[in-house]
Amino acid sequence: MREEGYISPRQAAVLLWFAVLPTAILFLPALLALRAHQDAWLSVIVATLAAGAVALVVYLLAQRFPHHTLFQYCELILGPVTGKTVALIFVLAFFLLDAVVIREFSEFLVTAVMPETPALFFSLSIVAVAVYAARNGLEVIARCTDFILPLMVTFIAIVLLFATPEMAPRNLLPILENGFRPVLGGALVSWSFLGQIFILAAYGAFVNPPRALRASLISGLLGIAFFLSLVTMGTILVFGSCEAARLTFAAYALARVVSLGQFFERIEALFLAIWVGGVFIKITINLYVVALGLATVTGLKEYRPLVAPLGALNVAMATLLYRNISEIRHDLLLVEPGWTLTWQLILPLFLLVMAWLRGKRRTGI
Amino acid sequence: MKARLRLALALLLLALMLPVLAGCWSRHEIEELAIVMAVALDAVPGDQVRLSVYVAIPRTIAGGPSMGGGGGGEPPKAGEVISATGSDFAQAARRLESLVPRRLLWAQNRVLILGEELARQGLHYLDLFTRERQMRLTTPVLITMGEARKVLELPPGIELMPGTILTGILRNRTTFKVELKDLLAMWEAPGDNPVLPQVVMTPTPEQESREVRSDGEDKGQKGAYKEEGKKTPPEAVAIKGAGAFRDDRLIGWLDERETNGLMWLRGEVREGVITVTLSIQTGGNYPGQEQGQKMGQTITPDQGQGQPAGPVEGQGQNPSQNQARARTQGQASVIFHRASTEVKPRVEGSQVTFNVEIRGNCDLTEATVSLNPDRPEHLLAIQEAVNRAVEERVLAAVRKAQQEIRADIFGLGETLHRSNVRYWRQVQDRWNEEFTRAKIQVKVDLYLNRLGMTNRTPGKTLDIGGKGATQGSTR
Amino acid sequence: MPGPYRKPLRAALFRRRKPPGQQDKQGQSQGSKAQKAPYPPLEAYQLTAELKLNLEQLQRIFAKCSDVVHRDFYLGQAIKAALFYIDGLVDKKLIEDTLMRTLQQAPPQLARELADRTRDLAAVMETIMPLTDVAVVDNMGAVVKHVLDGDTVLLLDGYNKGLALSTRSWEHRTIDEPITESVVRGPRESFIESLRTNTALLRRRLKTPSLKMELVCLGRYTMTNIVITYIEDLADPAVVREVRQRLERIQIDGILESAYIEELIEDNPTSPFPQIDHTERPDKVVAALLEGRVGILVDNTPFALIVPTLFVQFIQSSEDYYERYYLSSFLRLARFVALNIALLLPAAYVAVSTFHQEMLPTNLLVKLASQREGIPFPAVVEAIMLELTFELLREAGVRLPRPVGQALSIVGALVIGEAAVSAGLVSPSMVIVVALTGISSFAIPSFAMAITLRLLRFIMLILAGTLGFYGIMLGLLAILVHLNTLRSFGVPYLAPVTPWNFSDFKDVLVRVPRWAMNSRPSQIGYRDPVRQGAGLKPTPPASSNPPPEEGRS
Repeated sequence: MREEGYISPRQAAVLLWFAVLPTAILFLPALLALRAHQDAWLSVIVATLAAGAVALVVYLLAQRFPHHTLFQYCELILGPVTGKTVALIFVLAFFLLDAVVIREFSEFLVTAVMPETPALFFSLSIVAVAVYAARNGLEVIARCTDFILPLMVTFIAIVLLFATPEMAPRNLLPILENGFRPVLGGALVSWSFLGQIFILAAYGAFVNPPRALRASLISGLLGIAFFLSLVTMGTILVFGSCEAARLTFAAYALARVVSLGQFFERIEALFLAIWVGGVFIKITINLYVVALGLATVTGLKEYRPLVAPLGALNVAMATLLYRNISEIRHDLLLVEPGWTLTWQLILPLFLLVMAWLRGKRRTGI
Repeated sequence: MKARLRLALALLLLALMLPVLAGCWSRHEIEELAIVMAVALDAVPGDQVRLSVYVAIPRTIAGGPSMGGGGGGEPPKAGEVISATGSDFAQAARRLESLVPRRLLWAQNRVLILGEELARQGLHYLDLFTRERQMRLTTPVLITMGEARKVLELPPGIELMPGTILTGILRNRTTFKVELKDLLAMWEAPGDNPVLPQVVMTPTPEQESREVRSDGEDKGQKGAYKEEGKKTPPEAVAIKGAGAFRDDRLIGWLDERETNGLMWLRGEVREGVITVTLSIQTGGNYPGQEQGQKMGQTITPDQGQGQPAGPVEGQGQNPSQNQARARTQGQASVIFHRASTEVKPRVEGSQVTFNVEIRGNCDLTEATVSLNPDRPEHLLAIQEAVNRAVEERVLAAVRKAQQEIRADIFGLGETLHRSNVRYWRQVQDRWNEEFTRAKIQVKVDLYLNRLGMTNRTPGKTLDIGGKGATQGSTR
Repeated sequence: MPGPYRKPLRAALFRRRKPPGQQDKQGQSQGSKAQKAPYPPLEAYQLTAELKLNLEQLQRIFAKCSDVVHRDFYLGQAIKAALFYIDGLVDKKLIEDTLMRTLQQAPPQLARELADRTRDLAAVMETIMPLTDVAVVDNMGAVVKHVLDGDTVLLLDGYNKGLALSTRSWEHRTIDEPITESVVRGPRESFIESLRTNTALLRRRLKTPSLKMELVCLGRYTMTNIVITYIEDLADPAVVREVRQRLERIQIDGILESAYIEELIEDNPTSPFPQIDHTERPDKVVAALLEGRVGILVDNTPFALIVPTLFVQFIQSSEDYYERYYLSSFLRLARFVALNIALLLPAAYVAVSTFHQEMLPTNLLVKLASQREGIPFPAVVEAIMLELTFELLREAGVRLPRPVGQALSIVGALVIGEAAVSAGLVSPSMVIVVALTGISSFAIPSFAMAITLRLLRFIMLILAGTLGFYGIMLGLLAILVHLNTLRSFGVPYLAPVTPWNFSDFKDVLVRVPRWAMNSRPSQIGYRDPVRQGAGLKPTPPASSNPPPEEGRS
């Protein structure tokens, strides 16, 4: 059950980046443009600041219980029965989150790339590889990110750079046309993605040394905010806020616009391939956390046997969760913000307060 | 027991992989595809629409080993035009697939051409082209008078296919380019209306003569579509002019000058040439006058059509040999490589004024009137003429838009939106009407910088600016 | 156990080994450290003082071995002695001229001293023994081993000990250029099949007593000598210990090549990727030893093993270090690209042409489409067929004699390619793709890695043919995860990328100049990280002009 490996703080930050960004750059800009029009990028920044609250809670909890995962200190804070129940809630929440991600992934691939292939196929294949990776432990997952991160960053940079001829800065004006309220509305929508940095509470236990978690959190958040706002801004600059709201898959549409000379165009298939790598990490880390959590809650010694069945369940859940993509958008716009707020901010805050009240803390390992 | 579990898992994996072997759903072999290179949309009577596509034939284009030497006589077609009708374009596309032996690949489509009839009905059908995943938002959109399908029936010239011809012309930047995403942006923005470049089919002189010489066949209007199996008439295609929309319906056309003005106002001018007519009025003594005295030659821009100059009537002077060959009326052309347009709206009460400032640098590229640009007044005259020409074009476009089209096709509403949000909120619902009342003031500041490789115009001089230049001639 | 010598049943030799620490039925603890002789009980046979008995036993053991030579003579005309050696393994001239002559002509006084049996045989013999490498043997197992190793065994009547004299000499290949790893610039010596020569090649290059050579003997029937070599100050003692343990746990019939050992001591035997590097070049082994690695030399094969091995080593070649660094860096990058091409090009071609046609520029698309008109197979099948044909051609080229083989494989490939294209069975672009892939896989310095990539290429092809770029990415991700789980003797396989170490990158994709290579690879040479002094970059003198002479401007 206890992971033997340790990851460095830098790898923790990178995992955080991967835990939020891949699906966010795809789905979020359109939703933000819907709410905040041309101020969508401001929403991202505001939402990041708000996500700092989650980061703070996670950090404080991790300081109180160094080298303990979320599921372990739930039990420590609230006692065996309540603690395990709360931990189980977290496990279920991560499980749902993973299913949503898988669903988003297969929806995108079916719609944009290969419409004839049944969506189940995509979910199954990516989860199969994710199971293989999650079984091998956190260290392996973190090492894989060291390869995929440069690819993703380079490609996003290339897309943004080469989409510059199509950008019109006047699309960003007028700034704050309708005041600040749409920005806040957009920030609320972003919350459904940005709050996912909470996952650090689950794998932060394996970061060595625990004090470095602060640096990880900050750099991870900054990285997420930077890229997300860049992509959002890029989408609005290229398409204008009205059109951007219509596009379901923003980063993909951006990649399609890239054209350099007559040769280097229509490269979105490459973007797709690299993006698949990013989502793979996201799915894997979520799956790992779910398996770890379930193993902790039920008191198993090894989490590895749980990974494959949980993967299969996730695929099934993903298929059953929504009926169509309108439901996904509806969910992301209206339901997810509240739900994420609850279990990623309020519940941990409750945990923190209880821990402080009860004076529970652990020093050392 | 562990081995058995492994065996079971392996069998499960194998079973999972079986569907892979059964058929890879999205796989389309490259030779099973019909590559669509250009799409033309038309409206047909009976409330139907017609979708015409130009499908490339790879055999002929690539000239593979099976081709051998080209057959004698007419070159093989590079592609085929296929049409299908339906109540909307998705249906037409479906019907199209029953006409083509291969699967249509829309992803390589180069251009989208709208027919006049269809455009007058609106733009709502374009939803297919944004929703369908193979269509690209960066496809240029053009509009044509009459039927769009005829554009697809262009004969091959330098480029083999109409799609490439059109995109090539667009790349020359003589006109503005509207991609699908720009069209959508123009349409959706409350302060803007769509405007599309126009494709015009013109007969070449060969064809005209052939029409004259032909035996008994009635060609009808130019560009008549011949029956299948016969040679298509050679035609030339040009992209000039524009079609202007109000909201989403085509209302009217702009001719070349107005389109140019439109481009200036929208700031979409890239490279271009402006030709102005000038006329010289000579006066004063000549030659041998002292330096410093006003030479008495003025150059004025001429509003009317320049007449080819004849010998100068003597105006109280000895028509020396030099003067006899001077051209006093002609044209000058300048080329500019970049220019910027800035629109500043100003609201006073309920009157909106747009101050348009156009700035740029240009180079002299041709002067058929005898002039010496080293002299500042000549230079200024050219510059003045150029500025006035541009201003005229812009005003012509504005006039057309305000009076005939009655819609803001310049995006001035959006400019207003960006700077005066409060006023915009009041007028945004009826902006097109407000626009007809708006005042537009144009100030053009194009500076003439360079003169090319030579300075004064060739020919025996009028001694413009110095001693007689008859010495030193080479012959 | 005494008694007539009997050959044990074959099955008994290979009974399943019990875990160490447990006792078997006979009460003997299995898994002892020393490798047992082929006939387990032989060590128990002690030499008797009677020469006749010893000789009888020896002759029974070596019955029907026609190359065993047995020579009786009188030492110093007084003591009966016998020599035992195997013809072909010994230096007969040495035995005849030096040994026999000295011993036969030994002064009789010696014989009288020898009659005094309380004096130690070895000490006495040291006074007249002309040969240098002498060992005392007291049991039959040792005698047999020494004879089989090429030593000459001297048995004396009246002594229950014998002497094993080192007279090893046999025919072997001359030291020539390495066949598989030739370079343009650099030493042209390669290992040969003789272990002692190989260790000598290493000793010549590393003249330090810290270079240790531990001897291990593996293989029941082959009794192959294996040397573990390392530099004591630099190598990780845990790795050395691990190597020794893994070697000693091997219980096998015979070791014919270092590949046998390689497969038996790998960390991840089920992985297709090679985890142990092998080489024919001594300078490569020495370079590895200097980084802190451990080398394994095996008798009867010129290929030495190097552990621990990282993935990046398979795109490094010795020549990189002997040419200028610009060229080396460029070639390294080219090899890295070749690695990717060898793995991905056919798959990418198939994916793009069947799934993502929109990626191609229109002209290319049209050309490809026209080429594929009339080809009866789908692109995937075409690719697999051509790849398999290429593999067969390559394999055939290996079997043929050298001058014919290369020409035949090249000509064969061209001709077959041309014929297939003209017949309309494959498209020319596919032939180009397959040819490029083949060339790229040859550009990879390590044959083992090239083979691995060849296999993986087929898997990627199938994935690409079914799922396009998504399939390729899935395959790459699976490979990536797999690579990240590999360790080679405790060192992560993908160092220095993960765990990230920036300074180690000086030797991965580029080669930084010699004066910048200041530290050893961090995962392996951490015991002594500094390799060379800091300010080694050569700077020319301030001015190469001579100082001005006096009195002149």
